[in-house]
Amino acid sequence: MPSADVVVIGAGLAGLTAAIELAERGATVQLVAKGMAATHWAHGGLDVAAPPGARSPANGVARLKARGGHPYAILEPDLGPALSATFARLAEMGLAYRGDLRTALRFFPTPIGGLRPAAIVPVGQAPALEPWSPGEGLLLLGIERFRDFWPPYAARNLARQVWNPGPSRIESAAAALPGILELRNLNSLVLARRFDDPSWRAAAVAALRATIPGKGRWRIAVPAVLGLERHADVLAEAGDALGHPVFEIPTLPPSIPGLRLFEALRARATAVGVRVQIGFEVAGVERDGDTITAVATHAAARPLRISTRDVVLGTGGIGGGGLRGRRDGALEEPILGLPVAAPGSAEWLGGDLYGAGGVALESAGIRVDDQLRPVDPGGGVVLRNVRVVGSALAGMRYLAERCGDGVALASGYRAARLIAGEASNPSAAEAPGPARTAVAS
Amino acid sequence: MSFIDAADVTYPAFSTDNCIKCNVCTTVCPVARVTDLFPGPKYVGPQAQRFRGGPSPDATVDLCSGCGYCTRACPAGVLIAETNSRARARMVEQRGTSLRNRVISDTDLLIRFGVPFAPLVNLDAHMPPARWLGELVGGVHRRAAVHPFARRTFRSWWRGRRGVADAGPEKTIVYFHGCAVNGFEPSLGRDAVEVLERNGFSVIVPDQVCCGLPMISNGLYPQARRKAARNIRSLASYARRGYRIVTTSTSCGYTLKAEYHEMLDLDDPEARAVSEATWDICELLSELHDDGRLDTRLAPMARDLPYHPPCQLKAHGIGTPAMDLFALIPGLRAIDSNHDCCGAAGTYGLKKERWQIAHDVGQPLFEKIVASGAADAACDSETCRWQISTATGLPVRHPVEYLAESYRSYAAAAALQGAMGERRPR
Amino acid sequence: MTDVDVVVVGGGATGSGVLRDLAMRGLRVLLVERADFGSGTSGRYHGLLHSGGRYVVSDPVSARDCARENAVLQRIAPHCLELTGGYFVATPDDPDDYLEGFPSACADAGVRTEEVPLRELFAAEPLINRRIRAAYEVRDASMEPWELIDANHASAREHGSDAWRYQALVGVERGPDGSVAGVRLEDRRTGEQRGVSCQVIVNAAGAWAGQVAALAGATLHMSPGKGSMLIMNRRLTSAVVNRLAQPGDGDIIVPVHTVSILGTTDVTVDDPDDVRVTADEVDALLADGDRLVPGLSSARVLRSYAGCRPLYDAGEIEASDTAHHAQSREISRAHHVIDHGARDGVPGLFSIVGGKLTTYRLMAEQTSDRVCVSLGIEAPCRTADELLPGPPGARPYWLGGRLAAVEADGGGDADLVCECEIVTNSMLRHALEERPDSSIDDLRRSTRLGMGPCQGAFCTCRAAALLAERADAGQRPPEAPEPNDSLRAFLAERLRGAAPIAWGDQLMELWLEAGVYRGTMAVDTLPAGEDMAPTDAVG
Repeated sequence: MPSADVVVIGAGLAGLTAAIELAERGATVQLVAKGMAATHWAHGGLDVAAPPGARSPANGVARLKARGGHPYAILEPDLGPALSATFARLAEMGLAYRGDLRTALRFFPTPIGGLRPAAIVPVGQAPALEPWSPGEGLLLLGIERFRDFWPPYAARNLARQVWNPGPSRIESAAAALPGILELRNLNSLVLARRFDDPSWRAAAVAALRATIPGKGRWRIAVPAVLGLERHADVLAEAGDALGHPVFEIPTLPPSIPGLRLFEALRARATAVGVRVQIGFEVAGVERDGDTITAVATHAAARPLRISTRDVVLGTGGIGGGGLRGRRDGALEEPILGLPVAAPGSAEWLGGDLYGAGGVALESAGIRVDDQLRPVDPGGGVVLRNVRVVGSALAGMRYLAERCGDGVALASGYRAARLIAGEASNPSAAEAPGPARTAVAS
Repeated sequence: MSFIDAADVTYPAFSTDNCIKCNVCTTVCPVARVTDLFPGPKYVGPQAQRFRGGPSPDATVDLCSGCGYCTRACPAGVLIAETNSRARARMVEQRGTSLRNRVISDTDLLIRFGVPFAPLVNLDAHMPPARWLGELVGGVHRRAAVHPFARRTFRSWWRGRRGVADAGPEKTIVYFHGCAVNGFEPSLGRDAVEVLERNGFSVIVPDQVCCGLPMISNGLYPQARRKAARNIRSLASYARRGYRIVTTSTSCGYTLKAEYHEMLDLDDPEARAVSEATWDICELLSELHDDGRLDTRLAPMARDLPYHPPCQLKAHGIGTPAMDLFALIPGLRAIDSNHDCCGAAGTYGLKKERWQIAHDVGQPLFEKIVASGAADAACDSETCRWQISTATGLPVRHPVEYLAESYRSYAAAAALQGAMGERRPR
Repeated sequence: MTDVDVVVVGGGATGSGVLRDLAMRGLRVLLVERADFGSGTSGRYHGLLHSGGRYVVSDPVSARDCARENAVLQRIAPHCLELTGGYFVATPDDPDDYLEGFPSACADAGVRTEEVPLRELFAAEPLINRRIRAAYEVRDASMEPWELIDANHASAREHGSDAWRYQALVGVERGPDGSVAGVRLEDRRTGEQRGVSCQVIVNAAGAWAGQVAALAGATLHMSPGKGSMLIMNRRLTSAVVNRLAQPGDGDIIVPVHTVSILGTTDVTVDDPDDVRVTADEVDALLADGDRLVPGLSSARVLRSYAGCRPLYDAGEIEASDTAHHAQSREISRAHHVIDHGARDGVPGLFSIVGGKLTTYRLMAEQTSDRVCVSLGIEAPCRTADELLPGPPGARPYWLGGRLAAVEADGGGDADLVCECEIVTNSMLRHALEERPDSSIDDLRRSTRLGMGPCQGAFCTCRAAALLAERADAGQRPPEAPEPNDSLRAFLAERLRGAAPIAWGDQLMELWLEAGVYRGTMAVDTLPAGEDMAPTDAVG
């Protein structure tokens, strides 16, 4: 039977981070995932914390930590190092990010003209967060026939937003890009791949440029389709040719910025020796008491068994399939059968699912001790060699608080350090002090 | 209890119910990546499935190459490629299919006529006018990656061997050679037998026919079922007695392991026994190695070797055991291609109207291999080998052929040593 | 239109049928509906065009009516129907005597039926309960109501009549002798009021008929009967499947377009506007569903909804009306035309209550006959003779139709707005051309936008953007809802149907949707618009 030091289950931000950090510390890591999920749907920025009233991610983290029961109560010391490490590895893969824990939260326009708080974003989105100077207008520049970006709709809503200060004027336009009107299939992926092609890109950028209203200073927002594999080149070329700062706005899935983030982390994981196996759905585990000794994945004809010393569970929350709602009103964790802390089923959707506050079910998840081991309602450790990371963790409302990415990175990082024996309790080992800042890139 | 269990239906037919429309599958599809003609797996798979039930409303699903990346990327467990295959079968059932598709998917038939006339046929295959004619009349692209027929089938060679020794299920391997070995690459079969015998196994080759995959891929399910039935009849008794059935084609292997059940709905105990007894040869050898029972007396082969894991290997869900085996050959540096699909997809890449798509899908792979400067490359599936070889001009071999060569070199060196040792004065 | 002969109140199937019938007889008719056409009971029924088989034992008169009307509708409205066929099956829970009596009861009621060999049933319906011991084939069909309603309106317009939506009846003008003289309407979106004079009011407000009658000073006790349904994400059967037993809860599965609808329940409620699907109902329906399709309760439930039957309080049946004194469940299924002239002192007010959608045309005919008699008009009903307007060469719906049409054009997603239900850009534009004031929920009824597995996760914002684009181009009339309000209302409406069945894959879907709308789109930060019209909340 093949073996690994650690099996990481789940290929989201948390799982990939744990796998990379472990492999960099010399562990043999096998990462198995049923498929890909939230990374491919999310906006590609790194949401660390933006609860109502927060001024910066660090400020947000402090607020969330103070509430008690939030994963940041355990993870806060890991956040800074985790972010630094992430920025560095993404930059190495050609995907630079801007912002850090101290950056002020500002408003990022959305495709329907909402404004979401953001501080840490990929460089292709960063110009959105620069303060607006007097006389600077926002031009929402869409692509004709592309159905997932709506400049007129966004413009009319953004014009009514209270944005202090915001753009001096907001206009919308759409460019007819070469060959696009004849296509049978048109979605963000099709456009992003075309932008990867230098000759098409040049003509497309020229067409975009031609729609910019002649006078005035603009900041230009385009849909997030500026290349998949050649994103940096596309950004550079667009920036030069358009003559105004330009930023991407992420839209409906598949999220191109999310894809870039995923691919960068996956490539890094493979490069440091992690065996990344997508499409390997866990069929079961073997246990010896409260220790997992092997993980079995579904394979053709018979399961594949991997013996292992440690397991990291990063299977996500309800959206990713790591937590599953049952008809009888219980919420279950289907792979290891871990106890899930959840409100009673009558209250699951209590609240406002589409409002800022969200619903009670959002905070459901697996409770852990400070070593990220799953615990039962009495606080007893259920499985000694399992660490739970990411959205599967209980106690956060990742939509309302915009904290999912921070929790994922910090927990993945922490799990790796714990397994590598760097500290039995890293939070005690860390000296209190200012949060580490990210490497500016 | 899931609906599948309670309703006693096969999972693939109903897995489309799980689709949450998230588009992850579309991001990994190699065909959608290169052509605007194909809407992608979400559209032709679970989305279209809700509109199927009476007359087939489909057309674009036929462009699916069956690589299976979509199924593996889906977070909700939808068997997308399998759904597409069934939809195509339904189209064929209702509307029929071309003579070309019927002919090129019947590899047993092609071999029956191709091998006896191999010199002539092979010569023709290299002549541009014949290829143009083949495209015009036969619908096989003039640049399609065709492999010369062998002069003698593997089975014919096998029959000419000394008597078969069945040493019982633990020590005997049932070899499923497949059409590629039988009619095109019999030397691979000979190497496989050699490697297995080297590791202490007896090898037997029972009655077998084409696994049926080309027919499945062309939507000819009834024809595929006939092939499957014959194979199962022959192999089940071995499977039930604990023999392992070993293939050197990851495509045949996957068909036996999974597609008989998932596509053809063959779910009886015999079919299941065959499925559970099937092993890919690298899978088997790697497992032997894990148990410390693989003969590791392998001579060095110092080279860089690009290795492309075929889609039909990834579908097995066993990882890349060939890479583990390559690691045992001193000096051999195998480099995983890290590319999704070579484009061939069995008969897909032969077709006049699909060839360009197939070529575009594989293009980055071909470029990588050529750029590596390597003299050859490795791949476990036959049509992939032929596709890569035709596109790059390099020989492409099955991993087991490298093992065989390494074993032979080791043995030759040992024999030489031994001989020299004997002559040395005491 | 400020002066018409007849005002019909209620834009469901019955009201629309009356509109057409009277218009064809030469009257000037205006139909008014307080919300969108077909958003009341007609938009919340089971989707079944009865063969009549369900009533052959319990209510043979209804059975006969259904059988006749089924044939009429198949003839006059083929494009509104899918000829799914239907089965009546004897499950292990169904009694022998019902099964034995069924064929002759069908014959007596004029309902065509034929026994089906079990082998054939199981081949046609692979998921059906293999312990079924007998089966009969009938001419059930499936029908989404909105095309039918639209077709009736189109026919009426050809004859110079019209239908308005989002107009609530807020007052009835009466003459000195108490007879009907006109109506007072209020636009539910703008608040604007207007009057229309008329001689006759036909109260076709269904479950709300009591409220309408009260405005005219008449008494009508309705006993609304809530019926809850579950929509299964995929077609589990290709034909309608009924149980061979006395009509009860959860005993029918109907394939309606891309889904299966499982229903229904029967709970008396006070307020037809306040209907919720309860957990008990969900459990009961799923258990019932398991009897027809084993394992159904583990399959993906897409949505839940409830409608209110327009049941008339049985104690009020007048001797002159055709009364069906059948079993208690069925007694008020019968339809009744009530003349409020002598009864309540409101001459010119007629109410049509009870009944089922399958017999809408017959109900409309009988109502229109009474109206014409009161107006002294001698004109025969021709609604059964003339085809309802439809697309040229209209064939019955077939499941693959929309996909086949897109595939015939080379396929592809570029022009799909709602991918799940294959709703193209041009379908939406066409719908908006016909009804420029549409909300997203209105567009759902016209095109099926948002009715697939993702329940609007992807298409809601695309649709809102389309509304905004048209608003910018001056193509939205002032009463049209604001795009943001419509978007929020639609999300809320979809959630209402999702909440009672939020588990498994559908819960995962909901989370994907929430992630998109709150995470990427920040829908909670959209500028506040006007409050959405109450009608949007009842959806």
